[in-house]
Amino acid sequence: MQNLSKELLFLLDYSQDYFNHTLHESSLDKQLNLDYLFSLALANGVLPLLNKTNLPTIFAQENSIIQKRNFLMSAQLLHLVYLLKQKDINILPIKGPLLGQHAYKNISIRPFSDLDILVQREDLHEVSQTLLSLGYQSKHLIDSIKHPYVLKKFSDISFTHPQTGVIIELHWKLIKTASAELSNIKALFKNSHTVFLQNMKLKSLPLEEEFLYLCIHAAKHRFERIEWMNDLYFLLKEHKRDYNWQKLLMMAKNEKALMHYLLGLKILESDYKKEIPHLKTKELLTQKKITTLYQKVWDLHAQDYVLKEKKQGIRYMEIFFSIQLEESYLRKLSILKTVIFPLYIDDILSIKQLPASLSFLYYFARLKRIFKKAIINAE
Amino acid sequence: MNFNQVISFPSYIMFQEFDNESILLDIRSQEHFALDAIGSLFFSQIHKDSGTQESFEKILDLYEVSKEQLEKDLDNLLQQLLKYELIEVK
Repeated sequence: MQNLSKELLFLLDYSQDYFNHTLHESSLDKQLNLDYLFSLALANGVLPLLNKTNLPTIFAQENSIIQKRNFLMSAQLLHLVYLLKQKDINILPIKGPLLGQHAYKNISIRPFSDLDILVQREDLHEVSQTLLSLGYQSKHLIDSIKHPYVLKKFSDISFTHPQTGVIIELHWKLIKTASAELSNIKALFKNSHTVFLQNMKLKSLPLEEEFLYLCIHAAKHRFERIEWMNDLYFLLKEHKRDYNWQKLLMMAKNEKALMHYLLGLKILESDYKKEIPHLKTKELLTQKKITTLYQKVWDLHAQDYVLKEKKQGIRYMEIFFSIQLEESYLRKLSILKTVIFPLYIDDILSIKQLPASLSFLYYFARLKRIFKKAIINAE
Repeated sequence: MNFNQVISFPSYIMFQEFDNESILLDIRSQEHFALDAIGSLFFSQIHKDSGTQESFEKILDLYEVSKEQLEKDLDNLLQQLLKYELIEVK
C-alpha cells in the first residue's frame, strides 16, 4: 500500500472511523486535493461517509442527490414488496437499501444505482408482470424468463422505469456460477433473516450467505471500490458475534470461492485491522496466492483504476485477475470460453428453441447476428 | 386534538429528513407529502417521542413561539397527518 495517494488513504481511514466523531476534524488537516478527493470518493462509493466533514459545498450537494435517490429507490422497493405481499409472493432484496440498513443502519450512507431482488423461479413471471404494470420496461422480451436455456445460463434480467430511471434487476440465481449452498434459492428464502427498512419487515439473505456473496461479488470486480470493502467491514462490525466462521469457510470451499472469500478477509485484516476470530481461516490468509491477489487489488487502487475508462488493455487485466481468482482449471477455462464465445440473451431468443443436446448451437446465433449486421451495414 | 394521546406510525409510512424539509411517503400508494422545516421538526420530534405532549414541550423550549400558536400549528399538522393516514392515534 506504499503508492496510494493521501486522498485514498484518507478515505480508507475515514471510512473506518465514520462512527468515531472526534477523529474527523483533525484528519482533514492534511493538505488534500479536494477536487481529486471528490472524484475519488464518488467513484469509490464513499462520498456519503464524508457528510460530517467541513468540506466544500459540492460534497454536500452531491450527497443530497444521493440521499434523495436512495430514498426514492428504497420507496420503490418497499412499494414492490408491499404489492407482491398482497399476492403472497416473497422476494429477497440483495445489496441496495437493505445492505445500507443492515450494515450501516442507515439507507443514506451507502449509495446504490439499482435494486437487486432475488425471486423464486415459480414467481418470476408474476414479479415481472407486476414490474411491467408499474411502468417498468425490459429490453428483453418477457418470454425470455420462460426459456430454459436463458434460465440455465443467465441469472437475471433488468427492468428500467422510464420516468424515474430506477433500475430493478430481477435475479433467479444469486450467482451465475453458484453450485452449492448459494445455488439453493429455496433454502436462501427458508433461512432468510429479517431486516427492518423504515417500519417494514423485509426478508434478507442469511448472514453467512450474504457475507460470502458480497466477497464473491467484490472479488470478481477486483475490490475496485472502497464501498465493497466497507460493506464487509461494517457488516462484521455490526454482526461479528453472529457469524458462524466454520460454516462460512465450508461454504466458500463448496462454492469454489475460497479465494474470493479469503481476499475479502485479507483486506479486512490488513487494512481495516479487523481480527478474524477463526484460527483455521486466519492461517489460510497467509497463502502466497492471497498475498499476490491482495497486492494486485492495491496496485490497481494506486493507479486510480476506478477512475479510468475501461479500455482494451484494462479488459485483459480484468480477465487475467478473474482467472487468477479461480482455483479449478475448469472454472478458468469457463472464463476464457465466455470471453471468446460470449453469449447474450437476445442471441438465444433469436433462434428457435433447441433441445438440450443441441444447446451448443446457441453460440452460433451470435455469429449469425454479427453476419446479419455486417450485411445491413454494407448495404 | 388531545396532546396526551400516543402517536404511532403505520408500517407503510416512510419518513426521511433532508436539508430543509422532510418527505413522508405512503408505500401503498407511492403518494408523498413534503413537510417544510417547521413541519419536519414537529414530525421528527413526534417520531422520537411517540407522543404529542412531550414533543410540544420540547419544541416550545427550543423556539420563541407562543403556546397558543404552537398548539394551533401542531394541531393543524396532526389533523392533516391523520386525514392522510400517516399517523395513528391511540
